Formats: sequence, structure tokens, C-alpha cells
Amino acid sequence: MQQKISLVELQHLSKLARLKLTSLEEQTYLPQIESVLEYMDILNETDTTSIEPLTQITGLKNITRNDEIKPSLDRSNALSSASKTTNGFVVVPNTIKK
Amino acid sequence: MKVTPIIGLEAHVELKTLSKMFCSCDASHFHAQPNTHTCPVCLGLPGALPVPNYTACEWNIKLGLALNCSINKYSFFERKNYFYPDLPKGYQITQLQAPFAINGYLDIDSEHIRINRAHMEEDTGKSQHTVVDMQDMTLIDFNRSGVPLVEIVSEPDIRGSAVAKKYLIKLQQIIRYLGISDADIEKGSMRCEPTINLEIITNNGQTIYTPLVEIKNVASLSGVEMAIEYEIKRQLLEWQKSGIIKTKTNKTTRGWDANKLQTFLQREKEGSADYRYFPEPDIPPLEFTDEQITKIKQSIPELPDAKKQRYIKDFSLSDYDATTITNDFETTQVFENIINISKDIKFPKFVANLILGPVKTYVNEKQLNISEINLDPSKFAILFDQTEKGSISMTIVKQFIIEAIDPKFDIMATLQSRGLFQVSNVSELEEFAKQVIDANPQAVKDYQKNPNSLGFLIGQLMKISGGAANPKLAREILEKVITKGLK
Repeated sequence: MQQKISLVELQHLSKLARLKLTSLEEQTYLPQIESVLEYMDILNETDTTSIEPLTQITGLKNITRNDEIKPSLDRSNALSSASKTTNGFVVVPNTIKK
Repeated sequence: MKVTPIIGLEAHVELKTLSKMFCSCDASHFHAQPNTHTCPVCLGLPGALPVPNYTACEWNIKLGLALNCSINKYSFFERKNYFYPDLPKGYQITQLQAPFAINGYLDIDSEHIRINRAHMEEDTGKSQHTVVDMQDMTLIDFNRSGVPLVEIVSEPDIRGSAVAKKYLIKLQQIIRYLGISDADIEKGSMRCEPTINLEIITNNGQTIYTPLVEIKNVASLSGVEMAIEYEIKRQLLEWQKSGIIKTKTNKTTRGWDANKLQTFLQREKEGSADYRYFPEPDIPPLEFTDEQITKIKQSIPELPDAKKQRYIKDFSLSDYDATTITNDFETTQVFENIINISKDIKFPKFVANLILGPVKTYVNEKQLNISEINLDPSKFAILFDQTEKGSISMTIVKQFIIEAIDPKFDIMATLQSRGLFQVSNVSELEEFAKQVIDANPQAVKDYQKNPNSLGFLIGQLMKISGGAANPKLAREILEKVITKGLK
């Protein structure tokens, strides 16, 4: 049977998910993802030709709010889960390459 | 060899709603204390539930209609997934399959620029790069996170930097007329990202395309123009050197360096599939009825092109004057407010001359906005009446309209007290003419040989009148007295 996910695709996915996988982890996850995708084949057997694509499941629509300002979080509270802050800013490693 | 640039523009516009797109935090962020306008929704905390701002959705549709788009009555939001420190949820809520507005256009002179879509999304936090504890760091302010953004995507129908600039100016004007955003490129409430490549027809008749480049960080209109010009030259040189042509995967992103006036490679572009879009499960779809859309359409004010044509047709303004006034929405408001006071058909032209002349010079010098100064329509009317009677000169009008910004300034009293009324009384002027003719026999002879030399005699007449003579009348009377004598 044809392989559903290649090592290259797995590496690409882990890059997008900002995950660094060891080669051992890659060898562990590859068959696991493979089996998930195989399960999708079972779902694919269902005939959906007469069924409209679904973009949500609540059955609700037009849930909006009026344009009104309500109080925001207190700053110390807002920043409390940041690992590093300075002068009210969240500090993260430099994002631009020099 | 024939080289044609192919340019598409993406413009992001921050709406000036009071609150953010999916939460009730204050949406103003310019000069606000960092991270003071945040909540669990715009910080991307687990369990927070986004709820769309109805006004923002309505304004997106309004802009779509003004850009000649069709409106998707049924639309929904989607998640665009990528990791970046200014995007706390790890995804941006945006629209992909069913944006509010699609398939519009803008006509720029004779160019027809198709618009692919105008869709609703949210802004990211703002990053700034600095040094903390001797280390390069990035500081994030989430006040901007979740501010409503409309993205307007053109088709690649633009063929040069000048048209690109005109397109953006027109877009900016329409947005300002609608009152939905300041669309200020310098302040970042409008951001433009051109995507460019070149079509090259080689000397042996082969057509090739250079790789697509998207340009980011352009912070002014002239920057857009220069970045496009630079990129056209760079791509041609690059192709001549490397021979690399466009493929499905070699689109890149380049930044614009406004100091060095050049673009630099930022990143290899991720393909669109890499964003793994999927419908936002937390926000139910939106449905707009025909009645709602009609109502939004009716709320669209007269737009720049229509206004300009009306000014030319109804007020006999020149194309130039009508264009200049309608370029700026606030100027049109000031202009229309003033001209309402008089029904005289010559009045609008008179007002236009003053607004585009002395008033414009004044607000530029003082760095004010035209709507911030007190331009009293009745004072325009007084000056117009006096001009029509020939009792004051245009020089005085231009000076007085500025002095009259002071509400205490009394035009008629000042004209009196400073003795600025022009002498338009025929017998008084004839008396002046007689004195001038008697005193300058040689100049009179010169005039009889060469009628162009009348200027000297007019000058003499103005002098003895103390500058008060109406120059136009003075000319007529001098001509009459010299040729026909006094009756």
C-alpha cells in the first residue's frame, strides 16, 4: 500500500508546528500519523455526494456584537503569564535576522 | 526585448471602529500605553470566545460596494495558521472561501484595475526591535492585536509604479470619504504590499516571466513607487544574470529599506497550503439580507469621481480645481458648507479660488487641517459681494479671507478704517485720468503709437489714487479718455 506521509512531509509539518523532532521521534510518529490517515480512508468510504460541505456545527448564525468598548485587563494581569516583560512590553527573542 | 511589469497590490486598512474586531477592547493603539488594551480574546488565552464586531463587518461591505464588488450574502471566518510572536493565538482569524466582498474594480484614468476581494480580518500585535541586557530582543505590544483590518487585493492588472500610486491614492480617498479609516500610510493605518514580476519578450520572440516578489515594509506612497521602480530594475538585472524564471514555488518576500532605497530578501515564501486554513469553529457564519445590503449601499456618500464631475458641471469649476478639492474629503465638506450660503452662480468658483489659494497656503504653513480653522461662509459672501461691485481688489480679498479666520474680524469696518475700498466711481476715475494725461504728454503719444504701453499710465493713475483705483476700470477709463477725450 502506498505510504500516506513521507519523512519529508513530516519534517515540513513539524517545522510549521515549531516542533524539533529527533530522528527517533520521527520514526515513532511517522507510523502513528500513517495510521490516523489510514483511518480517514474508512471515513472516505462514506458516500457524501448529496451532502453540502459543513463549515460549522452549531446551527447558529449572525452572532455579532455592537461596537462598544468595555474595560480591558489590567496590564499587570495581562502580562502575568509572559515569561519576560520590560516597560509594559512582552519580550521575545529577536525575530529579525541581521 | 520588451519588458512589462506585472503588479498586484494588497492593501490592509485598519478600520476606525471604537472596539476591536472580536472583543470589546478599545481599538485605538496609536501612542497608547503598551498592552493596556488587551483581554483574553486578543491575547489568545485558552477558552476565550471571539464575537465579530457588527459595525466592522458592515464597513467592510460598504467599502466592497464602493469598490464595485459583489457581496457574498453568506460568509464565514477562517483560521490562518502560522507561528509568530505578534500572533498570540497561533492563527489569524480571516476570510478565505467566502469573503464579504469579491470581484470589484477601480478605474484609474483609462486603466481598469480589477479587485479580487475585500475581506475582513484582524491585525496582529506590534513588534519593535531593541536591545535588552546587551541582547537583541523583540518587544511586543498587543494593543493592536485584534484591531479590525480589511484587506483589499487587486488582480495583477497594474503595469507601472505611477498607476500603482494612483490606485492607492484613489483607494485611500474612497476609504476616507466613507469615514471608515484614516487610511494613513505613515501612521500604519493603511499598509501596502505590492507583488511584482516582469513579463519579458526576448529578441527571439520568447515570452518569459521572472519570479514573483512580494514587497513588505513600505511606509509611504512615494516608497511604494520607488520600491516598485527598484524591483523592476533588480528583477531585469537578476534575470539577465541568472536566467531564473517564475515557478510555482519560487515566490519570495523582500523588505523595502527606505534609507538605502532598495529591497532586500526577507524570506522564501511559504505556499498558501502551509497556512492550513480551516473554517473558524468559534464564529457562526454571517448572513446579510438584500435589505441590509441595500441599506448599506444607500449610506455610501457621493464618491470622489462623482463629486468631481458634479463640481465641474454644476459649479463650472475647472478640471484641476475640481480634482484638487475632491482629493480631500474634508476640503469638500468645507467647500460645500461655504457655497451653500449663496445662490450666485459665480460664487463657487470664487470660493474654490480662495480655498485652493490663500486658505491652502495658510493651513500648510500652520500645519493645520482645513476643518480645524474657522471659515465663516458669511465672510466669503461679504467679500464676494464687494468683489462683484468692484469695490475691493483680489489682493485684499486674499488677505482678508485669512484675517477673517479670527471671528472678531469685521470685514466691512476694516475696509473702511484702512481705506481699502477701491475707487470704482467713474467720475472720480475720470478726474484721475485727466490729471495723469496732463502730466504725461509723452507717454500719451507713446500709447497712441503703441497701445501696449498703457501700463505706465495705469501705474501713474494707481499712484495718484493712493492704490485705491479699481485697476480694471482705470484701464477702461484711461483708454476712453485718451481716444475720445472727456465728454
